[in-house]
Parts: sequence; structure tokens; C-alpha cells
Amino acid sequence: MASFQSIMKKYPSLLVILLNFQTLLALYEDQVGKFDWKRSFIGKVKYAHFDASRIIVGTEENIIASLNMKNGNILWRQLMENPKEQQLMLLHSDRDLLSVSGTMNNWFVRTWDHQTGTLLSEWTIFSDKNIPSVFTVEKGTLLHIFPTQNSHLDVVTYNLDGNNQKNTIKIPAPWITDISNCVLSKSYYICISKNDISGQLYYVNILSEKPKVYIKTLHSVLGDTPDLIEILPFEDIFPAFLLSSNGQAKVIHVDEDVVNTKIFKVMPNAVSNHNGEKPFIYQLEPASNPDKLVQIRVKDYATCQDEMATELEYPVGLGAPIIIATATKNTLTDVLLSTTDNAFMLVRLSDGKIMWTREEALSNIIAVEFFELPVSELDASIENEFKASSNSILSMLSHRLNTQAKQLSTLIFGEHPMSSSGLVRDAFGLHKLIVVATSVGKLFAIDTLSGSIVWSYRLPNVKPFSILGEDKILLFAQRTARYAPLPAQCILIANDKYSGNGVIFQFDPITGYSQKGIEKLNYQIAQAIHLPYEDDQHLKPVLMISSTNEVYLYPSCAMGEVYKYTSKLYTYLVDNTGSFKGYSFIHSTKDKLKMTPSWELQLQPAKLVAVKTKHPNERVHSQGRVLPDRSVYYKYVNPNLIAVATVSDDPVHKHVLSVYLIDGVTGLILYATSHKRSRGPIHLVHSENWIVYSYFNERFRRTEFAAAELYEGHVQSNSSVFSSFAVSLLPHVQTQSYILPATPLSVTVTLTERGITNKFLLAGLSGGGVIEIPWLLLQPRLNDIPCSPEESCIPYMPEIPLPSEAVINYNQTIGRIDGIEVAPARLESTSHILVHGIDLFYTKVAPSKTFDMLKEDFDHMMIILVLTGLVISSYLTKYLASKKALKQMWK
Amino acid sequence: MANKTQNLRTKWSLDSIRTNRVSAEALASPPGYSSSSVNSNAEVSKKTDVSRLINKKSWDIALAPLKQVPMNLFIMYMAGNSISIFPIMMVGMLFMKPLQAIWSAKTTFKMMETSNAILQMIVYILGNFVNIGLALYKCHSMGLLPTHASDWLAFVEPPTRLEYLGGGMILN
Amino acid sequence: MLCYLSAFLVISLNVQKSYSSNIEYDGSVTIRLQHALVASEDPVFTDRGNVTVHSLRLGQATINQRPLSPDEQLQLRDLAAKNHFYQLKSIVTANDGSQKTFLSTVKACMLAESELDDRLSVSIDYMGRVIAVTSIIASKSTCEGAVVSLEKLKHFTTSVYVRHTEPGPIPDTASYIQKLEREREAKEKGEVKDNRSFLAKYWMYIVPLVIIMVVSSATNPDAQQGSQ
Repeated sequence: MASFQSIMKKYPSLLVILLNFQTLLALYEDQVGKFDWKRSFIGKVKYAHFDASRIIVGTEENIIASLNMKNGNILWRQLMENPKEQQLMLLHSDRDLLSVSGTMNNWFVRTWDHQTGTLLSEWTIFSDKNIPSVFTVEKGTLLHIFPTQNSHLDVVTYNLDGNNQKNTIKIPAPWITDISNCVLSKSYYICISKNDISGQLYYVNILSEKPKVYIKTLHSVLGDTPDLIEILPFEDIFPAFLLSSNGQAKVIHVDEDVVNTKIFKVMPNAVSNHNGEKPFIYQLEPASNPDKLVQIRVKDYATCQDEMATELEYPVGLGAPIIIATATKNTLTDVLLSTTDNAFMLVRLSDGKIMWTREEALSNIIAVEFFELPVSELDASIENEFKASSNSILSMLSHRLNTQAKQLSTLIFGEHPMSSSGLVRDAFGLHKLIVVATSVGKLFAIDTLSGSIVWSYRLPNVKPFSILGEDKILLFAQRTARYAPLPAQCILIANDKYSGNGVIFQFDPITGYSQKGIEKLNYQIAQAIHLPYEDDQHLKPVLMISSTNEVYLYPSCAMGEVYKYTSKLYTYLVDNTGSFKGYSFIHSTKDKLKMTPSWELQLQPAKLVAVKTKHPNERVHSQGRVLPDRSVYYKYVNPNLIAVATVSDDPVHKHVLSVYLIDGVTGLILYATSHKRSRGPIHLVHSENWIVYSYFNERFRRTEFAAAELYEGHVQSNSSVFSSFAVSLLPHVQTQSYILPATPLSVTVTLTERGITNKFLLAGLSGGGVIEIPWLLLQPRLNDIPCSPEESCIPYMPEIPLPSEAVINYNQTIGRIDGIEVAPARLESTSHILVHGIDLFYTKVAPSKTFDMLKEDFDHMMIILVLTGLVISSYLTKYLASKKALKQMWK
Repeated sequence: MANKTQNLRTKWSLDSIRTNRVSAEALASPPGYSSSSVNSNAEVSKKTDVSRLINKKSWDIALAPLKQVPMNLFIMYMAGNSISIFPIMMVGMLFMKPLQAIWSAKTTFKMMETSNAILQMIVYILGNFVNIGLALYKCHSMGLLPTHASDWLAFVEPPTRLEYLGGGMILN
Repeated sequence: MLCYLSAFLVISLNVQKSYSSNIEYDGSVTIRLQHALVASEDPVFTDRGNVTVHSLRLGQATINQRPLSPDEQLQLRDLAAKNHFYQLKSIVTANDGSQKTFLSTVKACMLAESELDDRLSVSIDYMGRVIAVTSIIASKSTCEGAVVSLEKLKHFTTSVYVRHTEPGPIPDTASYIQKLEREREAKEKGEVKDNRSFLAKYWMYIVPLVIIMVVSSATNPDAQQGSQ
């Protein structure tokens, strides 16, 4: 209106204020940390240097970080390239921190500031040789050594004092037979020709003016030993190495022509330390006291006498440690240990106390499962009332009186110590336990409210499965904690590291206790199916299919129960050539389950990229979509649908993405679509009656999202029962496509208990944020229906807006997002989200706002006061009014 | 009888020529005029008047709801078809008035002791039902009646699945 | 009922024909059909017939199947009565001579109840290669065992549907930009000013008021006159 505009022109400040009014979907500042937490990790430590009160570490995840020496917290952290492509080759701490990371052909050499971790300089090294190489820094020059077997050593030196001048030296070395028999120490390259006493020792000083190769026989160095000899690196101020045989090693010094063997024997993991008053050698060995596991023995460097042996309070569940670095300050010596299960700890040597431990296995999570906690004892006793088996009134009355007396006593006298163990369900079921399995074979249970580790369990010799290039371990919740006194049960299925056969680990997720331990199977597992049928112990059995198509049931006593359902069970197996085979169990007998082929289809020569089915616990609440003329457009919800994405190489279209929707019981392809000139990475989400997939469009060079939704029509074909065999019509597919202005690393959809709330797609972006995209924004619009807010339809926008309030982890950037896990909460409006990658982030998401909860600052007191005030005043007024009327009548 | 009526008349009439009553009485009545017949006629007409009046009144009451129908139609047209406070209040009123009238139909007709009281009561109740029908039609045009499939969508149970599928990519 | 369903299925499957103009490939394939009429873990497949798809692009196919012998009819009836599965194996030979084998299963009782009226869905990927051959029965519900008389189980009436891979959707930026431009132009032109007279704008409210006043005064003066 004209008047409004004129007001705006007169008061620009008013305009500014009004324009900045927007609905706040973001968190308030004081809500930070209330229902989310973040844990940062760095990965398995490879190199470590002590620096004043800090420890600078370089890890196998291609990360450099600085840790606080007192508590192990991260002061700064720098994430470099993806560790699958580039590895950290060297970390050298001098005036500046120098790091070399790269692959076979190119490396980045970077210098960092010790205190702040800022990047000071970066330059690259290229090479066209495809041989593994070694780096070292010596006397201000960076040496890059290429050992070519049976031929020569190529050494490229870079002057690190500013100009990075390159110099190439070639040293003929036909004696290099096996690179694993060679070490680099200071500027000497040392090899042994054979692993037994008849071999020879060759070494050359690379930095000398005229590099000369010295040859010594191993016999002259070591004396006579019948065992196999191994050469190991040894950190020392002089060029030195270890020759180890039969579990004991000797320290050997080389200096031009002189080879000096130290007489004493050390463990192969020994480390020398020269920054105290006297040089010492530290080594780890099993403790003599059977209660403690590990002890550190200190030996004098010069005389090789045992100075002392300190026993460590080593926790039982951790793997075997190795010493990464040591430092002595005044009289205190600190030792950094890294274990086989990626934990990292600092030990103070005077008393053998472990100052802090970092569980770095959590930087590589591959399986997540959420568990509900058992109810508190009091609530359990209330529930037991209804389960009372005796029907006599007197016993029920006495039980109820008993429970209520207990409740009264807890109310008056405070909490019973037993029930406040902490791991009980809270009012809304938001206190859950997250069980995670890591790639190193370690299980952790994390509390959702605090983010602390409740228990951890190390599974030795366990290796994950590898599917489509990713590691995977199967975790199934066989029984929840609802059926007290039966304990909750979870089963983990993985591979044995050495034999390749399957391994089962059954445990109670609330306490971590396992009755049977790790059970090794004698067959290779091809697939495992978690059946939805409970046996009389409320346990859901797991069906395991071996690579020879034999079927096993775990626990095997559930066979009788499962046999009832064999006519309804179907399974499918996909191999990585793209051939899909479906099987049925119809020929199973009462004692043995048998799998017979039912259908087969082949997608070759396309390369499989994603195979997704719906989440087994997902419920679809509304069976159709309401149209403006009040008729219903029914959804086609097929619980047996498999969504498959393949990418094929094409000479004309470069890459072609094909997406298929296959019914898993009959093998019928319901929908097939292809996108030309599109390549991966493909992220596929399959839920309810729709799929959403993201791909990179090479023609326009942007990431696109495509959504496809399946509908039956205006009439439901069969409203009571769904069977994949009864195909009365093919579903109508509505599709639409959008542009995403970011690169997604992982996409999931929220899940709620009843499926009533709206759905949000959670996309983890490469920038470290996780963005929530409402499904209504992506839902394919129907052509003949006008789109307006009345039909809860957002008009089509080809580009998905990414407002900053939609980032659920506000400013807590998560490095290298690997996966997002979702679990329904007992409240219909919320879902639990766990984002894992290098870091771990947990939060709760409410896509339709928390419609089933009162807001947090709901004023209970005021409402009660006002109500009581009004009631009292109304009675008072009634009394006064009647008195007045009476008085009036007397006049 | 004539004296009584005359006394009544003299009691309540504000005739200023009261004193002339005697002379009026002395005059002979005209031939063919008998005072008694006039009085009896008046009495009979009054009796029938009263009953006819009561009948008429009760018919009025019985037909009142039907007379309200055009007025209600007009109010409904004015109120409009959107869901906001005014139309809902109107619909509520249209509903409640006939319902209350039906509830209190018995008491309304208790006073009427005419011959066709039952018929009148039936007509009255029917009239109220017509009003309720109008209110229902208004609800229907506002879209409040659950006549379409989409209104029962929330109660549709998801179909049970006959086959269970498990499996995936081969794990090794 | 069944013919209504089959018509529906035919229509939905025939929608594929509209995409034939976008398809670059063409070719013909021959499919050899074999079926297993005895339920066992290692079924023995016997010849049923063969299908020649003349043009993959247009979806034209000819089928020739021989009728079932009385033994086979008995076997099929037995399968249907015991609620077992009927398996179909298809060996597809493409233009270049490569062969692929596919397997498909239907419930035998459904096949019997439909009197051997099944539909073969031959799915093709974007290049024109056959990726699946599935046999389905058009029906609204499944059965759990059915007994059908033998005469009806003699001849197969099979229809072949060639189902292509549709091209996927593309973000529709052009129409969105047009819509934005239209909205911008509409805003720039400004709203049409409401220049009509006061009466023309508000007659909707004035007329009922007048009527109500008239009606109420009509009733009131009448009442007043009546009482006097």
C-alpha cells in the first residue's frame, strides 16, 4: 500500500529492523551443549615430539595436532588430505614443524608454527618414479630417497633454508635386494643382504662428498647366531640401528668405516633418550609381577646396566603398546605409548602412573547401534504389577501396597543407592546407550547424555568386512532391555583376521558383559539376516548365509520357531559384478534351513555403487497423500523394495548413472532410470515410498539431487495385506530433480517411532557441517495440483537453499564426515543423530518442532498461582455478594 | 344473566353518563329484540374464540421453526464458507437452538391442551429437524463433514506384509 | 474383475512406448523359455517356448509356446494345489551373440487361477542390454493353494512387455527463472488502484444491512399496530 511505503521511506531504521525479523530456527546460545556434544579425535599416532608443555603428533589419518601435556586435550589440529589418498611420511620438529605427506608421485612439504598450528609455507615435490620412497631431514636438508632394487639409490636433496634448492645424487647400489631389509638412520642408508648370519651389511653415507659403500659381514658384527636376523630402525644422536634375532636386539653404531656394536641386548622396541642428564634406553617388556601387565625398563646407555624397571598400571582392555617418544624434564620422564587398538597415552615414569589416555579408535567408527536403557527398579516393580501371574485379589492388593510404600519411602528419604546407578531410562527415553564398533575391532558404549564412554571391549584378531570399498561390521539388537530380568543382547558379526572365516560376538550392550566371548565359525559369512520373529525368550534370531549357500541359525535352538516362517522368508545376495540372486527358504525342513534360487538378474557390465533397503523399523503412518479435492492419492509402500545405483563407463557419455527399484521377492524391476554424464560419489536414501539420490553432473559441473516417489493411484489395490507376488499395477513414479550448492559426504533421513512427524534429510557436507533439508522441499510436485501452503506444499525451487540455521551442528565443525546414524526416540517428535568421521557429534533433531513436549521454560508455578488465586477470589466474591444482597434486602 | 353482564359493564366502564342508566333501562326494547339471545351469542363466541385462539397460538408455535428457515438460510449465506470464528459461531447457534427446542418441546406443549397437540408437537419437532438439516448442510459446504476418503485416512491401517526380505551385498 | 486388472496393467506397461522416440539403440533379442513344473531344490527345466523381440525400441515381440501335455497339466495342478512355486528360466541371446540366463518365480496357484495368463517383463538398461526377464501374474491378491480344472491349464496366453530405462529428471531452472521474472514484472507494474466508487466497493455489506433494517422495521411497526 502506498502509505506503508511512505512510512518505510521516512524511517529507514524501522525498515532495517523489520527486515531482520525472521523466524529463528537456530539454537539459542545458552542451549549450546545442553542436548548435544562433540568429541574430537586425531587417529592412530605415528610420530610424536615433545615441545615445552605440548606434544606435537602426526597420525595415520594424515592429521597434525598439538596436545596439552597435562590432560591430552587437543590445542590445535590440522586436517590434511584424505588418508586413503595421501599418507603422512615425515614429521620433523626443529625451529618450525615440518611435515611431508603424499602418495607415490607427489608430496606436499609444509611448515607449521608450533604454537598456533598455522601454515607457514607449502611446496610440492613431484616425481615420476613409481617406487616407495623415504624422507628424512638431516643438517637442514630434506632428503628424499628412492631405493631402486638391485640398481641404485636416487637421492634428491632439498635445502630447507629458504630457497629449497634441489640437488640430485645417484649412488649405485646393486646390493639393495629387499627394501624391508633396509633402514635409514641420520644420513646413512643401511641394508643387510640376507636375514641370516651369512649375509652382509652394506651402508653408505648419503651426505658425504664422495659416497662410499662400506661392506661388513654380519658375522663380524654380531658373532655367531643361528637365528634369523632382522634390521630395525633406532632413534639416536649417532647413526645407529638394531639387529634383532630371537627376540633380542643389539644396538649397532656406524661411523664411516667403523662399526661399533654395543654389547648389551635390548628388546626390539627399545628407544633411546638423550635429553636428560644421562642418556638412557627405554624398553617395554612384560611385567614380572603377574598383576601388572607391562613394565618399562630403563637402561643406562653408556654402561648398559639396568637402572630401574617401573611397572605400569596398564588397563586390562587395551592392546599391546609401543613407545613413540620419550622426554625428560628435570627428573621427570614422560613416555608416550601407542597401542595396537589405536589408544594413545602418557606415562610418567617415576611412579608408572598413566596420566591420560586417548581412545583414538573412535576416529574410525564403522557400525553404530542405539540401545534403550532398562527402566529403574521402581518403575520395573510398577510394571510387574500388571504381569502378576496370581489372580487372587489379596496378593495383588498386597503387591500394590508394597510398591506404593516403596515409592513413599523413596520420596521421603531420597533415592535408593541401587536405582541411581545412572544407567536407567529417563522420562522421555532420551537417555540411550550408543554401541559403536570401530575398524580396529574395539567396541565402545557411549552415553547419549554426557558423551562419556561407559565401557569398551577389545576384540583381538577381528577384521571388518569390505563392501563396495568400505569397511563394515554387522551389529544386530537381538533383544532390548525391555524384557527384564532377561538381559538385553546384541550380536556383532565380523571376520577373523587370519582365517577369513566368520566371527560372532554376543554381548549385553548395557554392561558389556559377554557370556560366551568370541565364537569363531568355520565358514565364511556371505550375509546375515536379522529376523523380525521373536522366540519364547524374546530373542530375535540371526540367519547366517555362508559363501557356499549354506544357512545357519544363531541361536540354533530357535529352529522350531523359525521353521514356522520359512514360507514367508526371502533373501537376496548381490556380488560385486552386479549379479543379483534371490532365494527362498521354501524347501527347508524342520531341522535344516535350505536356500533355493528364486530369481536372478544381471546388471553387468555396470559397476555397483549403492544398494539400499528401507530401515527395518520404519513405519509409514499415512497411507496416502491428500489432494485439494479431498481425494487420496495412495502411496505405493513396498517393504521388499531394493534401491540400486550403478555407474557405467560409456565412450560417448563418459559415465552413466542408472538407478533401479527392484522388488526383492520376485525380482521385478519396478522403475529404471538413467542419468547420462553423471558420476559418483552417489549417496542413496530409501525410505517410505520414495528414494533420493545425489550425483555429480559432469555436464554442468554441479551436484544434483533427484527424488522419485511411488504412488498406487486413487484407489488402494489391497488395503489389508501386501504381497510382492500380487502385482495388480505398476506404481506411478513422480520424479523431480534439484541442484545442491555443496558437496555431500553422507546423506541420511530421520526416523521416528510412528512415522507421523515430517522427515528431514540430513546431509553431511564437505565443509564439516551437517545440514537438514526438509523432505517437503524435495517431494516431487504433482503437475495438476497447484502448490500452496494450504496443501503443505512448498513451491518448486530448482536450487535447494542452505540457510545457516539449517546446520544442526552450528559451529562445531566435524572433520571428514563418514556417516550419519539416526535412531528414533520414544518421543514421536525427536530422533537421535550421531555424526561420525574423525570427530563424533551427537544431537537430537525435531523436524516438526517438539510438538509433543511442553517448552522448556513453561511457567508451571505461575499457572498454578493464577488458577488458585482465581478460584479463591471467585468463592470470596460469591460470599461477599450474598452478604451484600442480604443486607440490601433488609433496607 | 343479563343483570350480571350489566353489572360487569357498570363496574368497569368509565361512562360519565352513569346516572342515565335508569332512563336507559326504562326504554322498551325494539320489536324482535330479545336481550338474552345477544348475551348467549357473545358467550358462545367467546368460548370458541378462546379455544380457537389457543389453537391458533399453538399452531404458531408449531410452525415457528419452519418460519425461521429462510432467515437461517440468509444468515448462512452471509456467514461464508471459511473456517473462522464468525461462521463457526453461526453454525453453532444454528445447531444449538433447534436442539434445545427439541429438548424442551414437551414443556412448551404442556400448556397446550388442544385436540391435535400431538400433531403440533410432531410438526414442531420436524421443523427443528429441518433447521438441523440446514446446519448440517452448512457444515458440509464448509467441508467439515467426513464424507471423503481423505477424512478417514488417519484410521487406515498399514497393510500387513506377507513376505519378509533380508540380505544384501556379499560380505567378502 | 481380472480383465479390468489386466487392462490396467497393460495401460501402465504401455506408457513405456512414449519414450521410444528418445532411445538411441535398437536391436532384437531371442529369449528361450524353460520352466520347471516339479518343485525340488534342483529343478529340472523343460522347454516351454521362445520369444523373439523384433524391435527393442518399439517393444514388438512374437511368442510361440506349445500347449502343455496332459502330464505337464497334472504336474502344474499338483504344484498349484500344494502352494509351491513355478520357476521360469530364460536364456536371452542378444544381437552380438552373447547369452545371459535369468530366473523368475511365480506362485503356481496364482498361475493356475489366472488360467495360464502371465506377463513377461523384459527390462532393458540404458544401452539396450537385457538386464532382467521376470514373469508376473496380474492379480490383486495372492492365493495359498488352488485347485483348477485341467482343461483350463492347457494354453499359455503370455504377453511380453519391453520396459526401457527412462531418462532421469533434470532440474527445471528455465521455468523457474521465467516465473521469477513474471513476478518481478508484476510487482513493478504496481497494483491496480481501487478507483471504484464507495458504493461499488462496499455494496456487499450495505445491502444486507438495509434488508435487515427493513425487515425489522416491518415486523416492529406491524407488532405495534397490532397491539393498538
